[in-house]
Amino acid sequence: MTRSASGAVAPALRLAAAGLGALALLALPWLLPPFYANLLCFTAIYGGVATGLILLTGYAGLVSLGQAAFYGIGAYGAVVLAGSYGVDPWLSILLGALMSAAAAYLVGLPILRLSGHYLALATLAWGVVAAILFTQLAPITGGPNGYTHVPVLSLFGVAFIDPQRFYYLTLIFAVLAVASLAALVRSRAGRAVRAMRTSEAAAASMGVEVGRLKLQAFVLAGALAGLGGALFAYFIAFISPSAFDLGASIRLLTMAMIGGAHPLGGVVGAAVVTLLDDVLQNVIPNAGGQGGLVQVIAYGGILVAVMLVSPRGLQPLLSRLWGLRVRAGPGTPTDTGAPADRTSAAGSEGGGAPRLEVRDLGRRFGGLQAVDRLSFGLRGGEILGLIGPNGAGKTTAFNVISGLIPPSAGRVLLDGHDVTGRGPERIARLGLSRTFQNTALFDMSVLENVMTGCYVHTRGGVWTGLLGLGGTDETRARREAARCLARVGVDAFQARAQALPVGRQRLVEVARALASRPRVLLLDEPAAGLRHAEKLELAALLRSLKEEGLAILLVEHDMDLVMTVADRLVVMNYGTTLAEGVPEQVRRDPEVIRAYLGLDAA
Amino acid sequence: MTIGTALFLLVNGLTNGAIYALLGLGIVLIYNVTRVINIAQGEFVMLGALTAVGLSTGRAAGGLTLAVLAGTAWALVALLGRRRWRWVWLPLAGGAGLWWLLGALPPWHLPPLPAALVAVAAVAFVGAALYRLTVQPVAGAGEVVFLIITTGLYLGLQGLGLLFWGPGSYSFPSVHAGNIHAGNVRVSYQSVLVLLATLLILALLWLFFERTLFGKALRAAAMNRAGARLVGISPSRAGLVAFAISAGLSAVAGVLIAPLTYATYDMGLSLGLKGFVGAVVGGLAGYPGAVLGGLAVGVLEAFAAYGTSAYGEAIVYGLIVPVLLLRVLAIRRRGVAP
Repeated sequence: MTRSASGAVAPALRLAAAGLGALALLALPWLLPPFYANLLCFTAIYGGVATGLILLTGYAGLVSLGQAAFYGIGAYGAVVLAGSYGVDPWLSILLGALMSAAAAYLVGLPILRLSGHYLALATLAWGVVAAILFTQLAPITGGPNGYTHVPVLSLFGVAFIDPQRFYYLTLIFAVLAVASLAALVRSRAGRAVRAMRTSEAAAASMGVEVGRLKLQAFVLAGALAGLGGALFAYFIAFISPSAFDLGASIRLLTMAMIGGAHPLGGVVGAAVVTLLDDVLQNVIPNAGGQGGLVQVIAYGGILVAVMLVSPRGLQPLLSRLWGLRVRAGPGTPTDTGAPADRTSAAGSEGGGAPRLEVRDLGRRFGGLQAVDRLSFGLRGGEILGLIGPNGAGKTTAFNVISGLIPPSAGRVLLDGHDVTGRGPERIARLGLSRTFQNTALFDMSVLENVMTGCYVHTRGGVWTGLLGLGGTDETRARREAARCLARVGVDAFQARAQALPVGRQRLVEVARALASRPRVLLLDEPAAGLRHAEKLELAALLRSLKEEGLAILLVEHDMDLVMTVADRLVVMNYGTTLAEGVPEQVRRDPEVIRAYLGLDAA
Repeated sequence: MTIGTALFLLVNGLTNGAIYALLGLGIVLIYNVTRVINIAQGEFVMLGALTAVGLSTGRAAGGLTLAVLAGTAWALVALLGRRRWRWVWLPLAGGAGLWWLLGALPPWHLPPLPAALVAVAAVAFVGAALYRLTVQPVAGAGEVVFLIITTGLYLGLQGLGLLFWGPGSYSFPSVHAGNIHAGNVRVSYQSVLVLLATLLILALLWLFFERTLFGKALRAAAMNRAGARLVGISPSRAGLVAFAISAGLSAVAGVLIAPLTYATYDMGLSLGLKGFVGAVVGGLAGYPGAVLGGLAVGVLEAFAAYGTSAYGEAIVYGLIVPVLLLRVLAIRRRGVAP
């Protein structure tokens, strides 16, 4: 499909389609037989809840097997407040959602320190514990027999009892959930969420506060679950613990897995599961006398099948219908020539105090001293080459300096301030940016990758993202990203970054690092995988960055490149500093020659 | 609490703990070899227990039915994988024949021991088949994919359990009924049997891993997949054996626990989770650790249930979170290179 050709028509078509879709959604309960209005309500409620789970599982990569607990807290919270304590029903819905959000905060605070399957197990345990509490706190919840004093929701004398009317409440919920997720994933905070899914280390090195962002995503998903739970409780006017057990959590996860990482995924997944419920109930009525039995087996089977056939769910399909791409936008300078303003916040003060200073840095892994008493200073407008044979400790030194690993000894100073032991996101904020030896590009477009690099000097958190605000910062980030990409000579803005050849990926990483306007730039083997011509361009780029006053620390195995661009070299071997000096001097150092070529060569 | 009560709780806790230990062993074995955290581990216990019950009391032999189904699917996948379309009828016909045979045979009334052995063998086979059908096809996928798959397996197997046996709870005759009286402490023979059987299984596992070539190969595959592959150990075969042994161990646990507690279709999850807590307490890597962890969980549960009966379960599940956190923090402190 040629996007440029259809570009003029597409927006109008899209608008028309959206209008028709909205009309259809509004008219739906009156077009279908009354029974289906029930299914529509359930689809919208589950859809909204699953949309939160999509944010959590699909985008942030945090699997929750305890989502039904938050759903249950919202449901019980709302109807118990309204039924037993006389709170206004509409207010109780909001309070229920708030209680869920608060629970998510309290639960998330400890368990989000876990990741991967440990996190999933911890959420599962939380879900099981919550289900036990729903049953055991019988004086409040009515215990295993359920809670029945559910008041009726009414507005200006109109009672929301019949599913045709209630549908509009659930529709508002689902549409708000989908719209805010769609806005969020394209925003600065949304990009950060998606970034940390691919690589927490790289995201943190771009200034993303990974822990905080995870907690925000968890609370948001919890709040959506609570809101959905409250609506559910008012809709069916009776709740019992069995609606919020592990089976319910798995059902929600199944919906999210079927939908995949797309704002519409939750609603689509909910529709599939709800319809399937209905089909199974009708086609195989009461198999073996056990209602709901076949569904349970089917969910299990479907969950396994989705993982085997398409672990991304329906996301590829949905993305074709609604691409959600970030365009470079008008007014983007694409000329490679002189930049409009300086790329780096570097400041051109050469000489003077070192911008990055490393003193007696050490890092030990068990019995292995990976870095031992490493010391050097790096000034603005200087390129320092860090070289040494494989396993010399160069990458470990990088990780310690950029804050990914705490050092076991020594200090790191940035502009004279001690940053030893600070987290990577704080060091990034102080003006240090880096690339990775095994490229760590995020699973998004090239442009979005580099826009993530602008994280430290743009604003806009989760709220801004949810409400679709923060336009000026976005425009600024887009411009900056386009300019940095132009500087490194990559123009495939919309390509999936991880699908590029390795050489291009390295250049995109350099652009991403530059987009943060660093004062100190750490490059880990930027030339590996580059063709000869590209290496020459890289050398030219490094020189021009140096002219602008940037301080560059370069780890590189390509000796031609290092010798031509570096002002000074530090040679490492087995963690220790073997030699230090200008390239010519180091090249003739017998110790260095011995380390590289073996004993005899010396 | 008197000394007598404490001793009673201790013995009770150790008996349950031995069951958790067997589960923990299975979880660790599968995790070490395949990196799968098996949420469905407890379902093997349920299948083992209820199949043994079915075989000895004339009820459904669900484990055998499941073995026939899974075996047919396995054979089909193997044939289709090699594009031998012409032979597809063979497993289909074989499966249908066995299915018919299971239905046509008169209700089983085997003595307890043979019933238990058949049940364990059937569940071990089901475990291997499930590995081949659901885990091996996505061998390179991330741990989260595995976890979601085994979650699906948990739900599916539990549903099948309900389909086969209904919501009732069943007892399985113990090999030797009665109690040993030591002072004023009463210990059932079955408790002694559980503890002895666990010890025996530990000894057998030790012999398998230390003294047999295949056991050593399995350990190698657990330590270093790529390296094991280079010396000719197939990781998928190792995974298959790990799943078979692990499912078999859990089925043994099911047969052992069934005379003490009633067996129900939904007994699996709570047992599996407690086995998991035990395994993580023990470090999730070592077999002795998993056993000690399982015993500790059993004892803790017994005393917690005595203190706060309604919330005893919740306390044990809630333990997962601090236990996991401690483990992760310990790893971070030791400083493993990323």
